[in-house]
Amino acid sequence: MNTLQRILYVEDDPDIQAIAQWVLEDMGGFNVRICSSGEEALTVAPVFVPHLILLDVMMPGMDGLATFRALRTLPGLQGVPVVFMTARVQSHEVDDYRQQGATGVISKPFDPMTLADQVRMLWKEHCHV
Amino acid sequence: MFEADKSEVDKPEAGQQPIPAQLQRLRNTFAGRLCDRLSELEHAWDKVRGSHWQQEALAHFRLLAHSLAGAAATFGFQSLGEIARTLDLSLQAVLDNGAEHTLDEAARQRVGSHFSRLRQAAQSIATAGCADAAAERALDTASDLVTRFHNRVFIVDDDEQVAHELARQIGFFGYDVTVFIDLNGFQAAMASAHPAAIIMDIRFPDGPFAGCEVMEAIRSQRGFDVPVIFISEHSGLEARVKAVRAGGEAYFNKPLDLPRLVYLLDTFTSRRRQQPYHVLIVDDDPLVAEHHATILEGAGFTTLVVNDPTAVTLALEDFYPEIILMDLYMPGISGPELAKVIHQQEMYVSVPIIFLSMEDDRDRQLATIRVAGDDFLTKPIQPEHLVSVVSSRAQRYRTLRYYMERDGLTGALNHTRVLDRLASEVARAQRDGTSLVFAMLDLDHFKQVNDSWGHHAGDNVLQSLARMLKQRLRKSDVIGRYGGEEFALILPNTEVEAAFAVLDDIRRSFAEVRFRHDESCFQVTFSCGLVALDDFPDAGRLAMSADEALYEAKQAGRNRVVRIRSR
Repeated sequence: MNTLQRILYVEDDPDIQAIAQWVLEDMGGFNVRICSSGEEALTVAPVFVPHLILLDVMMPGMDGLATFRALRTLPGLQGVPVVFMTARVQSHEVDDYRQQGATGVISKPFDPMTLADQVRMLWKEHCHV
Repeated sequence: MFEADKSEVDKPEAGQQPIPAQLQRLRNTFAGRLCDRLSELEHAWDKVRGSHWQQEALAHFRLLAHSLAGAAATFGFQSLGEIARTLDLSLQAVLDNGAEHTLDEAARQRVGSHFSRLRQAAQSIATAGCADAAAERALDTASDLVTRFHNRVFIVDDDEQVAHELARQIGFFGYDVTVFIDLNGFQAAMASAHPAAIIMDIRFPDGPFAGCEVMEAIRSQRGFDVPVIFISEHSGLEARVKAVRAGGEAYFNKPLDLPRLVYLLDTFTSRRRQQPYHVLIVDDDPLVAEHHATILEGAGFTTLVVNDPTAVTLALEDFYPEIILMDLYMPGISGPELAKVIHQQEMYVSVPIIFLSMEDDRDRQLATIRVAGDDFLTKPIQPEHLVSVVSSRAQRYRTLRYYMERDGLTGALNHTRVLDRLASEVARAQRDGTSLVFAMLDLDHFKQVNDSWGHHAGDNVLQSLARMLKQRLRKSDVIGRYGGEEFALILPNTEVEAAFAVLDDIRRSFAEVRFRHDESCFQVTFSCGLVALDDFPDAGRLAMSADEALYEAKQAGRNRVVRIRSR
């Protein structure tokens, strides 16, 4: 269970979706499923059963935190590590997210060339905790 | 503070390692679509400046700036990203600043200057990017991931006059239309743009079925899913077959039946989210109630918890539950008794009520349901079970209610329901101390439309007006069909000046819509009377005075909006 394969990425911006899917699949070798909204993620996640979830914080409709809380109530998803993607990266906010149960935070804008590595590092951290 | 400096306009920075071709291609796609992002931003900024509902407009504008900030830097356009970020932060400051959420003059100038810097930077990248994208016009993996803009429509027709007139007409219904008069221009644009729908002529100078052939080529090239509506002068079978093979969703003969065309566009683009179901939870144990509320909120429902059963009537007044979960045993009143009380109110005659209890004897459960209520769940309840029971019941109720409350032709609320809503919206506004506007709207000389063009044409006019109102007003506004050709509008939280401006704008747009009937064409206007709750502080007087205002508008020559105040 220690290999990271399936990643669910929740993000409303189509350009970011495209580049993230490409770097995570082609450079990272992961199996990536993109959702354009929190609502969509709630229906996809139970079926896709991701190993890790990347969540954009600011989305129209359900935002990242609301999606996170909702995902946590779904059967089978309680233990799945969730990483927030956000433009606000002050350290107290990172602590805040962690306190709420997030595995980590990746700051936006992210560097496409290293995104896959960042994700892999957070996954390792998660497995060692 | 940034200085306006053109030299700062960025190019993607290569970094140390070579950029993979794929990344370059994604960058180009991003750059190509900057035109779209920019026009979305422009549109949003216009709304902020011209809007009477500034807070929503600001929040939307901010969201666009925010996502551009994130995306630009990710694609290597660092300084564009920074400029967008500055704009984002300045908007955030405005939004965080107190309860007003409005732009004062200083803030407007600040935001305005950030935006013009952004515009400049984006435009120069976009110009280069569009050229690249058009040149490449190859498959790109990004295209199938792209979500469409909800209201962007392309019209492709070599008859310039027809195309522009159609664009204008569709524009009245809130669509953002781009016209192409030759197929090359259209194909180039399709390399980087993603409209919500395409309206395509069939015959072009390039060939009698060139429109179909181009669509077929685009489709096979990129497995493409934008709905296409074909339009043609001819109704021959060959053209129709070609249209079907090219993946056409519909085929219209010219002259076009505009209301039907707009209806179709609405169905293509109405991927708007469904409103969450409203669940009322009545349980004297706050912990149990909260527990159920949390599960349901998590599954996307909107919940309201009431711990005191005697407060239920109050909750019914403005929460509009679509399903009620109720504890069977509560102090002072039993579940079935309370259920009867609720069902005796006309508005809630059929709202589903589900009892929760430890009672697990099915016979006794059924005996209870026979008295009142619809179903029985035994505590403790599996979360999935709760969610599935609640959602299927609520869904059925919503459908049922839609048919009970709506006018079949226009989808607007029927007369009784409008009055119910008016009473409860007035109560809510008075409790919260907010403003409210009530308007009545009547088509001018509608009998003549029916008499000269027939009832079908009349129905078209009614439907078009309802659709335009729905497009132009906010979700929180209530649209009702009051009588034959009369509509009523409830605009909560609205100042009367703002309402006047919006309705007058709709009036002007509607007057320009051309309805076609056989070979001829006609236009219809409406008159509107408008009153504010501040002037007439109860529902009854509000309705009566709106009627008077409407009468005045008719007397003064029709095709106008009239507001009256208390005398």
